[in-house]
Amino acid sequence: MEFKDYYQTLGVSKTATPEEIKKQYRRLARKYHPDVSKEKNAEEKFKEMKEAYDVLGDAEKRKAYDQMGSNYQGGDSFTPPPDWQYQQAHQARGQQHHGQADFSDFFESLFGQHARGARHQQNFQQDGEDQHSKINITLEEAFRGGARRVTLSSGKNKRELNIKIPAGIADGQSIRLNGQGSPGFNGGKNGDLYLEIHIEKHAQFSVDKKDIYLNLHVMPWDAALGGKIEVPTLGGNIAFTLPANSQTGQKIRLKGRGLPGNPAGDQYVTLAIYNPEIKTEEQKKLFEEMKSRMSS
Amino acid sequence: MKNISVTIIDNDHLLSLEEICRAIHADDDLIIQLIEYHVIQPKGSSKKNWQFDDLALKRARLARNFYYDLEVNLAGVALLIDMLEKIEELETHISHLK
Repeated sequence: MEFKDYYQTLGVSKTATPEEIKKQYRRLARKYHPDVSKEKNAEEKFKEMKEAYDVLGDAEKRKAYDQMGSNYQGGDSFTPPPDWQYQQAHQARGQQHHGQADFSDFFESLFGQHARGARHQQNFQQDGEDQHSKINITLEEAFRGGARRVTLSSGKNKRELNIKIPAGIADGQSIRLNGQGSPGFNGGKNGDLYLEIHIEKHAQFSVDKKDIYLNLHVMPWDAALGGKIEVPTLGGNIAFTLPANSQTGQKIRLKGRGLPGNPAGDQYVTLAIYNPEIKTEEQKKLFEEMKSRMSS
Repeated sequence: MKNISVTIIDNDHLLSLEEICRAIHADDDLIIQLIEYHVIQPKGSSKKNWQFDDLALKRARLARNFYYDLEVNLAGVALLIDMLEKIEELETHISHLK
């Protein structure tokens, strides 16, 4: 495995004081926190920083890391010394206790359960932890549901799952996959996997919970005279009778045409009258005639 | 590969106090405090039969992350979540106008 230069990850010098390290972590955490950051790869970066801070922000771990790591540089091939055993004197921070065990192999080999002598406690039955991840789906997938292969990477390993997306799932909602979290030990139950759904932006429709929004261009004569028009919905085009004298900005509700469910969402169509480009003399005359007859 | 069936967390499939704690890797003290700060709202009259919906799950997860990762206190967490939801609402609104 690769040696990780935690000082480089946090962008601090090897002689940085605990206060400097803390300050730098806080600054970076605000910038890269995946729940608020718009930076690219925020999640990956934040995970790395958190791991680096877990070590450098803890006097005991930092000392052990410094002693062991003085001969290495970031990216060097690394194997922990055979006599390595890290015994933490106390559970330092709440963070440690609640941490999602999502750190690198490098971290695990030095400070993980194994290194903490967990091998001596193998008779304990322990349930696996629940895991959490986010997946992006298209609006069509949210509407129709269906099978979907997802790749999950939790730091160390990647795995693929075939899951069924339930039709009608809304943006931000979570689905639970029973028993697909971390495995249990010695007959303990597996944890569950929670996937938070994100619906990707759609070229035509926008979505709010279960409702679908669409801006629809209508030709001036359709708007003026009324009559049948075609309206795109996620389930395909439907015919709709436009009332005469419709105006831009007017809203139409198509009941039950949003994301399915109990109750299903609706589709809201906002009309926008589209002015056609004049291409011929004849067309120009028509407009001129409209102008002279209708402007008063 | 077999298809894994899934459960949507919604009003028909709510989470117990124990389940939400496991899901977000927090103890029940944090959940109780989040209720006191009006960040999440359980259904059910007593702690024994409290149940949590998908919005509570989403907010509790965010709250936990902010609380431990950014060292924000719970009043700050509540404010952050309110503002994030406001931003989301505005972004949705803007996307309807485009």
